[in-house]
Amino acid sequence: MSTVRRFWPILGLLVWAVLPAVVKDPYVIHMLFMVTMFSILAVSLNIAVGYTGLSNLSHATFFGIGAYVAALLSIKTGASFLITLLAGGLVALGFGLLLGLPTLRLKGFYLALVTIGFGQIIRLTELNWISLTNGPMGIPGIPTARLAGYEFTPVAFNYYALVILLLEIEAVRRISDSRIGRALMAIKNDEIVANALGVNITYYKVLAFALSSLFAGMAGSIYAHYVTFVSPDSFTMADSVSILCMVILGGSGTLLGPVIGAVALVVIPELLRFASLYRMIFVGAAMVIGILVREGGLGQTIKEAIGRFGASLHREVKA
Amino acid sequence: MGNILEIKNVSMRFGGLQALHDVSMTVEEGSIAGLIGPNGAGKTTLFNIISGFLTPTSGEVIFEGKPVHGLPPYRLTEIGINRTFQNIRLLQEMTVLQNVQLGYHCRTRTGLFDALGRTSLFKQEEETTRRQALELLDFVGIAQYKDELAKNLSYGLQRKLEIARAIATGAKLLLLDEPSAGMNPAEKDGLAALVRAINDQLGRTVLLIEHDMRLVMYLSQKITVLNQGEKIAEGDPAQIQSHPRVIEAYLGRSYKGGERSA
Ligand SMILES: Nc1ncnc2c1ncn2[C@@H]1O[C@H](COP(=O)(O)OP(=O)(O)OP(=O)(O)O)[C@@H](O)[C@H]1O
Ligand SMILES: [Mg+2]
Repeated sequence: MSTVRRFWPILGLLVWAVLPAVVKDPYVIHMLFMVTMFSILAVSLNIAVGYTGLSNLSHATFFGIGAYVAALLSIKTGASFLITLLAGGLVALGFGLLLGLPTLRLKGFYLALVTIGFGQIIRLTELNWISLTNGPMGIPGIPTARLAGYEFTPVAFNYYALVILLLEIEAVRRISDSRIGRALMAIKNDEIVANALGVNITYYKVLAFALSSLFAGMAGSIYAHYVTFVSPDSFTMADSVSILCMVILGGSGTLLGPVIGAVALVVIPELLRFASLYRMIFVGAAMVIGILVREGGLGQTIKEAIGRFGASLHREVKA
Repeated sequence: MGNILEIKNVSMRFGGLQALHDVSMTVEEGSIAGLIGPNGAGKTTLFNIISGFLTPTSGEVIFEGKPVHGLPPYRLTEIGINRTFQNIRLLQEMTVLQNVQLGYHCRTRTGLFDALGRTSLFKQEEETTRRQALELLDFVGIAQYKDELAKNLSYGLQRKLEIARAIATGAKLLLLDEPSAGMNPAEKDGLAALVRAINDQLGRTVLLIEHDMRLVMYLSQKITVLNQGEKIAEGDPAQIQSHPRVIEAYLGRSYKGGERSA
């Protein structure tokens, strides 16, 4: 059973690792990168939304903060991409604390509204603080990532992002399978009981929100060096909504569900490009149906299908 | 032995409703005590006060000689009081084992970096609480369901799980709010044995609210009776059964005791 459970993620990882090396089409390489990028974002949003039950409609904002920090830092100081990775993550984390500390007492709907407001404030700041952000024109000419004189190609960026994604998944796995993770899940399940059991609600909510922002900020730094250009239009509320959809569709509160959601919601719209006008309608409808049919998300569906497949294999082997 | 818990002249008002009026009672350390009364008598309200979910309008709650009224629930859990709920409150989407492991939250210390780095402190703490949690599940008799989601357990088993979680917090005083509600007679017998075992094997003091008279009379050394927010009687089971005011409270007006759901 557990070998079957491990088999698919490992196979997926192998494909993921091999594809950028064998594919020659730059467009496909770019799409692969975007899948990895959105996977990092979905997995990190899942910490706050899936495990802890917080609403957040500004995840792309933290992504953007990380990207702007990386852009400015590398342009103004020539800092290496690893420095901007840390800085982008930490500044996003700082903003996460700033937003989280006063607002995480709010519940569901209200919290969602506050995060939307936060996203708008940051966006307006990016648009209007022209001396720092260059306003709507954005910041071009961000140095690409460089390691020991070697300049990252899009393929190298794929591996860079994949390594960060894997580190992130391992971190989330370790957190979820610990006293901390149980505290987060308890908050999602029943705050009153969690509190009565000695779980410090505010502390853990802020922690989840901060970690979530940290990884989003790191993703921002990777992205900034990759596209070498950031503008307020790169990180909109529509992106925040997409990331949230990836988490929900894939299976919130599961380790790999958000990755499946990210793959599905990046790849499917691309495959449907021929139907340009109608594709988003299709994607929207598919999502609504998907969520209605499976509250546990796609991840759950796939897991069960694999479970059945594994069981049938087992029977065949025995027979 | 002395009293682990003393309630002194506690009153609770909800707007125009006097839910508790000048109630005083004690629970002896190491005993099983019962709290009974018709619907709406104020029993759960008193539990809410003892466990910190409500602050009394007036009066005092003394635990192990120290005033504790007005402290928040998590502080009372740390100090050694934990409860179950009349309308079962489990962490439904978490496993049976995780529910009990959470009971140890307030007794353990590892933080984010221990979890990320899988430090030796983390491994040791995780290992210990896991083992203890499994032992507790075994103790209440639901070990085979450890990996089930709590919501998939039957009603009776959910009540046992909630009790296991309360024990896990290390509570010296356990408050059980209608633990037998919704159970069939066989399950009730199992519950009675469990409460006894909690008391004499684990040495925990138990205060229980119960509508099943047979059960509460069998288990309790001392019973306190509330009616319409006032204490009307107190004594051992024999005294309570023959107490005129108790008989009047239960039988005088429309009889509503006995079996009801949460
Ligand atoms: N938070 C609250 N706000 C307002 N009124 C309350 C509150 N909690 C309890 N009450 C009222 O106080 C009275 C006592 O309720 P309580 O739940 O303590 O009764 P009980 O003895 O536990 O009854 P039951 O046997 O039905 O559980 C009831 O009239 C109830 O409606
Ligand atoms: Mg009650």
